[in-house]
Amino acid sequence: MTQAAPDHRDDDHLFEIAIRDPGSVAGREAASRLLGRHQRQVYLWCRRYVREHERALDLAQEVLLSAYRAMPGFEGRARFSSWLFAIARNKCLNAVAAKRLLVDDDADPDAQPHGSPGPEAELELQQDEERVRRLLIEHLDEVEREALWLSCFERMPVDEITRVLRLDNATGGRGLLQRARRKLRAGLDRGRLKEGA
Amino acid sequence: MTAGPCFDPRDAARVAALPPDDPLRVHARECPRCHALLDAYLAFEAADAAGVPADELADADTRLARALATATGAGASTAAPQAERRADRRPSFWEQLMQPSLRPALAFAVLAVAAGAVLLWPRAATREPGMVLRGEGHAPAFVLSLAERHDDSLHVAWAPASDADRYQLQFFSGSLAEIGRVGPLTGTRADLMLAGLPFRVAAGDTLFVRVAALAGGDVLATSEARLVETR
Repeated sequence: MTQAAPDHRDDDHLFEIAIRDPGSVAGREAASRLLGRHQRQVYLWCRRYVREHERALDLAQEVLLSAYRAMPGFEGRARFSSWLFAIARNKCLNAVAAKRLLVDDDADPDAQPHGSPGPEAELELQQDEERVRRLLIEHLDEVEREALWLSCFERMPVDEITRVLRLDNATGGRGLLQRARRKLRAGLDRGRLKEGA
Repeated sequence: MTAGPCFDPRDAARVAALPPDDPLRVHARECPRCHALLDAYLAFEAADAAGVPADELADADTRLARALATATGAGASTAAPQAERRADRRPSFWEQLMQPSLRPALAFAVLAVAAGAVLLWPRAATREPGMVLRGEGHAPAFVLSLAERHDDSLHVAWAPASDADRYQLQFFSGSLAEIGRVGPLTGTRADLMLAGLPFRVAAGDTLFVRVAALAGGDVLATSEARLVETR
């Protein structure tokens, strides 16, 4: 069940009123209505990440109140919904733990999969987004790349990756991520062997 | 991969609206970062509520609308269309009590309560002081009677709060930062496995717990925070 996105033209109109005189009754009511039009979107997004109603509510409230405080600085160059998405995305990224690039988070933490460079080297790699992007393009297909990026950098839970990518096979996002990580580790391993040769 | 600047998340709507052969849109398909960001934005816009219970959706709608109305100072009727309008509402108990004809009686009652508080103060001051935590500012109104930790479990019990229909446990670290919540719960006791908590607790970690009494999702009252003792 999806909810139709609010019409952005109505957003523009409400936003104009909200920032014209933020302290006025009309300005405050416009801001409240504008954010209210998107409150369910924000709640559902937060719920994807934190998985529990009360935590999602707390996070959604933080997002909406941050957006309200930041509205005077929003110059309207971007569409309101994607500006709000950026705020919600940042809050949710901060609310969940980072995912590892090369190793499945559900795997035995004491086991070191073949081809994995070790935790410190992996952390260094993961902090170099440009290098990771090049490696993903080199070793993985389009869907594998996107799944791994959604997991590690957008910190999206596995079942949400399954939904976003519309995967309908039995293993869904989990199987895809396992395959992607395995291929990436193998590619890194081959690269290290070539350098050593 | 098509060369092209990766877009800022704030521009996701603009990129999504570009024709498929636009260079930026082509880049967004080929670049794993931009492809993931664009699909995340489209999922945000789609607001898919599949799997979310209807009562939780309704609760979220109501409480977020109220929070927005409070934060913006706007009337509740503009933020939540289903909220009752002020003009149509019967006067509440407190509004009736504050009528001019009843104010002298109300003033006398307040004085009587204040005098009673002064007389009872020495007794109250001998209570063990609780931790002061930031929160909704609700006055402690019921007692948290048990907070213990065993090897792999945690046990919390509390006296019932009048008008409460659920309770929520709020956990804090030794530095009084909130680290997690459990609930809503029915009943007045929780026996939890440490492994099932939404946060990690290591042996030797200091842990405080506070109970919030809820009614319809609103916090009625909170207990004092209590150190979880290790047994």
